Order: sequence, then structure tokens, then C-alpha cells
Amino acid sequence: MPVLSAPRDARGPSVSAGPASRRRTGPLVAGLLLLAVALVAVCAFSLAVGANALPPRTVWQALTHYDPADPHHLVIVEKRLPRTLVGVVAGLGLAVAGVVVQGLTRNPMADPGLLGVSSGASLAVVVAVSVLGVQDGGRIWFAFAGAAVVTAFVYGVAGAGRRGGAGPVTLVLAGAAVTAALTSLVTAVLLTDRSALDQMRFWQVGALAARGFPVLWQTLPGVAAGLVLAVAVSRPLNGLALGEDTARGLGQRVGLTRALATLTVVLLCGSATAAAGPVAFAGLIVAHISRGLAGPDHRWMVPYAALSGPILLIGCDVLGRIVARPGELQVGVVVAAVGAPLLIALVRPRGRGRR
Amino acid sequence: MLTAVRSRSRTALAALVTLTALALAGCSASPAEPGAQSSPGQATSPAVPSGDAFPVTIPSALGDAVITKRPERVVTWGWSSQDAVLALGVVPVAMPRNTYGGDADGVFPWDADKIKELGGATPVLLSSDSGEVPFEEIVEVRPDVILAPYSGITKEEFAKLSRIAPVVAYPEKPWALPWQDQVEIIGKALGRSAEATALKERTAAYVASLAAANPVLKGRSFLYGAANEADQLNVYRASDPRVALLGDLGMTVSPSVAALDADPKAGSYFYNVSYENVGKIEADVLVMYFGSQKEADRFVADPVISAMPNVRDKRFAPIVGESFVMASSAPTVLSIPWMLDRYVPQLAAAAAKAGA
Repeated sequence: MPVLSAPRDARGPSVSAGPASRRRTGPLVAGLLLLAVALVAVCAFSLAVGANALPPRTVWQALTHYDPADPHHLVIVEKRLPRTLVGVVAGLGLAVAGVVVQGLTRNPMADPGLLGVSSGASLAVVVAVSVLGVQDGGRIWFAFAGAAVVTAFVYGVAGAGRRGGAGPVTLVLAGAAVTAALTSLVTAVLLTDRSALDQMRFWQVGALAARGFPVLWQTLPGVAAGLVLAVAVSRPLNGLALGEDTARGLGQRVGLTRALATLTVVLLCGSATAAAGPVAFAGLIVAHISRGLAGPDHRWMVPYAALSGPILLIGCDVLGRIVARPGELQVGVVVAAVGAPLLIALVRPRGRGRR
Repeated sequence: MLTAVRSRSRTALAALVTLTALALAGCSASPAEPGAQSSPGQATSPAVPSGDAFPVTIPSALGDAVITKRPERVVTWGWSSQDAVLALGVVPVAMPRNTYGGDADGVFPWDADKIKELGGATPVLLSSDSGEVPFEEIVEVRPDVILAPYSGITKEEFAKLSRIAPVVAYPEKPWALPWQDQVEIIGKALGRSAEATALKERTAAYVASLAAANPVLKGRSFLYGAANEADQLNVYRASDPRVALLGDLGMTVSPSVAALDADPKAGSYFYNVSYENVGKIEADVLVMYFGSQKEADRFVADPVISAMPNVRDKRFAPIVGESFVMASSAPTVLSIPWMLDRYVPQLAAAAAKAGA
């Protein structure tokens, strides 16, 4: 599998080294701080910008002295605030899932939807809306359940009869095949059920608007659990990057790592997809950005992704609110428009410097 | 020629006036005027209002429909044209299936009632879910005329349909036709303009009587909206028939609503207002439609919406249920009587809360 094994194993990360692996820790920490500042700035923008041009002072007052009787305060606290927080949670989930799935499959082109998470969530939501008539409050659970079931299925197919569980190539192939099949099923249902299509359109493009606090509370536990797991598997993932045999030789339990990493992806990407729609592409881009910034060590890539993901998602959401006034563009559209050139720019100069 | 006709009969004159007013082109359509006695083979019994003479030419934004003889096999396409056809006593051979608001077969309740009353067979129901014109299904029923004055057919579709039968398209803009014009145009196409005018006047008189019986509606400002997009209010423009109907009941479009219209000259019959801006709405009554009670509940559950003075003070007239939504969204000579008895008390109750 020359193509699928990442081109970085020659200079793979140290498995056993302590915190100061190859790169110095100082600049990496400074980078994280910078990203944190950028995230705060983007969130501030997200709170300040909207269809109704409210002065920053009103925004500040709404946050510090909230008055539910003031319609402006309501807009900020009930609309912009949950929208921003859902952006943080979903962006974090997608981005960290991207890092983990790329480590798991040792494939730099893997996005978190590759294991069937997005298509599974989509199919479950379509069935919920079309057949069961579920309204949006219940949709999130279907999305999550669909993501989990389909990913488990993909993992099972890929790992069938193989020692150490699913391998990277079989995972990618099984994921791609299942995704293709489910996507066509989703299309078939939507083409024949116009009212379901109307309801689905908004979720399917990917959007942060109209999510509200209930969606935030529903999403938060999954993403939080996924983040903890991601931190836990980041070190074994470094081992996996060296190749299965080497990792095993170093005393790692490869099968367990893969299973845990898959679970991480389901928790993170499943929750994020349920909240924001299938915008897994964001995860692909941010995983690349994180690798560019932090190097190949997953223990650094995870926090970098956790901060860059929300910056990208919320940044695109704010952009969508500005460019299409007085209406707005949904975040999925903006992520695609901004992300594609960004990804090309990231991938292009490969030859000049090693990452 | 016009003078020759003038002496004939009062019925003929009334029909002629309507015809000429409607036909825009005036004389080009006038040969069709109701010289009932002079055209052999027509029913001439004075008790029954005589039908118009053919051929009839009906102009539209997409081209003329030249109807050579009184059509028997009528196909309707688009919104609610079958209402006017049925109200004029003709059962179409085919009409669109309305999954939204229709019964199990896709027939609106007021249409089903009328078909039963006329003793006709249920028309062939055309697939309309995709929004594309089902040419093959239309060919199958061998129509004499295709009536689509309240539709969004394109120039290409018009040309293709015209090869099957004469097509009556919209006079100016797609999806914009007052019910008054609708019944007149369809009356003309069916050779029943006198009945159409009478029907229009009867319906208008009914609306006017309700307005008179409910003075509380007079001068009340309103916003006519829907919540079909997340965090956006779809607001209907004054040109839309559903908005005009409230005007006929004595109400006026809230000026604050018009001020939120970013592009009033845009072709669409509605525009969007972000929930961020609903605080700027000042209307005595908020009129909104919802396919189900669930949708209505979800709308008012939104914290920003529930804080709107209209919702808080119950100056809110939700139109709930698909059939009710369709009847009020595309009002016609058939659907207006079907729904106003329910609609007007609701509007009046909301308007009464707006204070003296």
C-alpha cells in the first residue's frame, strides 16, 4: 500500500520520547496561545456581526447585563451566542475527528466522513424525517445513531477475518463503498419525497443558524467525551504512524488503538454532524492545517485542531453572514468555497519542504 | 362591428365590456364576443346565459392561446386553476395532484365537494411533486385547452405544451394572479365569461359583507408571513393574492414591514426577514401559516419569536393545517367561501386585541 501509507514514515514521530519530541515545545505552546487568541477574536466577531447591525456596546451589555425584555439582547443571547458556541463545538469535533481519522487510516486525504459517519447520519436523518416524521428536536439522535451504526458496520466489514482489527486500506475501501451506497439511498428518498427534501435541505448543506441552546446541550457530551478519547489515543496513533508491525513491536495493542480511534471519530464527528450537518470537509482541511502547524505528532495536532477547527467554522459562518446580506450563506457552502482553495494552497508546496 | 352588437342584449353587453377590458388587445379578441343569436348551433335559450362565440384568443406573457371551439376536455396546471374551472361548472379531465393540502388522492376538499356536486368523475391527477410539467400525462388525456394562468411555466414549456393544445399562461408574471383575474381569464377560455363575471362579483360581495360585519378589521395593519426557512421570516409582498385578500377585508399592510423589504422591485412574491430583525416589526396582527400545529408550536417556541409583541399579546392569527393554508394562500372563487367563515373570526379576534 505505497499510496495509502503516509509519506511521513521516514521521519515519523518518536513514539517513546517525552514531551519535547523533535520539535521544541516553546514555539508549539506559543502557537497554541496565538490560536486561542484568534479563536476568541473570531467568536467576538460572530457575536458582533449579524443581519441586524447592533453596536458593540449593546452586544457587551447583552452578555454582561442580560435583559430578556430587550429584543436586541434576545437576538444576541438567544441567536448569536448559541450559534457561536455550536460553531465551537462542531468545529472542534470535526477537526479533531479529522486528525484522528487520518492517523487511523494513515491516509492524509481521509476526512472524518470517510468511515461512513456523514452518510450514516444523513440516511438516519432522512429516514427519520421522511418515514417517521420526526421534527428537528429528535433529528440529532437519529444522526448520531446513524453515524454510530454505520461506522460500526464499516469497521466490522473492514476487520472481518483480520488479525488486529480493520487495517487502514480495508477501512478506507469499506468506508468509501458504504458511503457511496448510502448516499445514493439518501438521494433516492429525497427525490421521491418533496416535503422531506424541503426539511432536509437546510440540515444537509450544513449550517449553524437556528440551532439554539438545546442542540448545544445535546452535542456537548459527545464532543467532550470524544476529545478526552482523542487525547488518550494520540500517543498510540503516533506509533501506528510507523506502521503496524513496528507499532506492535513497540508493544502497542494495535487492534485496541484502532477500535478506540474509531469510537473517537464516531463521538466527535457524529455529534458535530448531528449539530451542523455533514460538513466533514472542514475536518479534512483543519487536519492538514494542524499538521502543517504542529508537525506530525498527534499529541500536538489534536490541540491545534481543537482550536483551528472552530476558527475555520465560525470564520466561514461570519463570512456567510457578511457576503450575502441581508440574507446569509450557510456555513457548509462557505466552507466549501473557502476550504477548497485553502487545501490546494496547503498541499501544493509539498516538494519544497518536508512537513 | 361593435355597434352592431350593442343593441343585442344586456347580457351580451355586460360580457362584452368585461371581455374587452380583459383582452387588453381589445378588438383582436372581439370577434369572439357573445353574438349568441348570430352563431348557429349555439344554445339560444334566453333562460340560460348564452356562451361566448369561438374562436377566442387569450394573450399571455408567453404568447397567445387561440381556442377555436368551446373546450370540453380541460386540463389545468399550476395553482388553483381547477377551482375556477369547477366553479364555472366544468370538471377538468386532468388537474395537478396536490399532496400538500389535498385528500388521500391529492384533491383539495373544496374541489372534491364541487366535483361531487357536479356529479363528475375525479379528474386524472397529474404528477406535480417535482414541479416539472408532466407532458406525457397531459398528452394522454387529449385536452382541448391547457389552463395555467397561475403557474410558473417557462417559455420552453409553453412552446412544448402549445403543440398539445392551446395554453393559457400568466398575463404578466409567473405565480402572480389575483383570483378575480383568474376567474375572468378562465371564464373567457371556457366561453363562460358572463358566468365568470357574475361569480367574481358574488365572491367579492361576500368578502365585502364579511368586512362590513367585522368593522374591527378596518384599518388594522398586518404582516403576512411564513416560517419556511430557519431563523428567517418569509414575508409576502402586497401584490400576492393572499395579502390582497386581507386588504379586501379592510386591513392594510404594515408600513414597518414594507420598510424591511431590501429589494421591493425583486420579482418574487415574498422576501426574507432575519429573526434578528423581527424586533423592528410593528403590526396590529401577525398572520402566519403552518402546515401543522407542531410547526406552529415550534415557531412560537423560539425565544426571539415568543418575545414579539404580536405573539406575546396574542395579536397573532396562525393559519394551521395544510388545506386551510392552501385555501388562504391561493384564494379563489371556490376556496374563499370554504375558508373565510373560519378565517375571519380568527382575524377579528386577533385584531380586537390591538386595542381601540
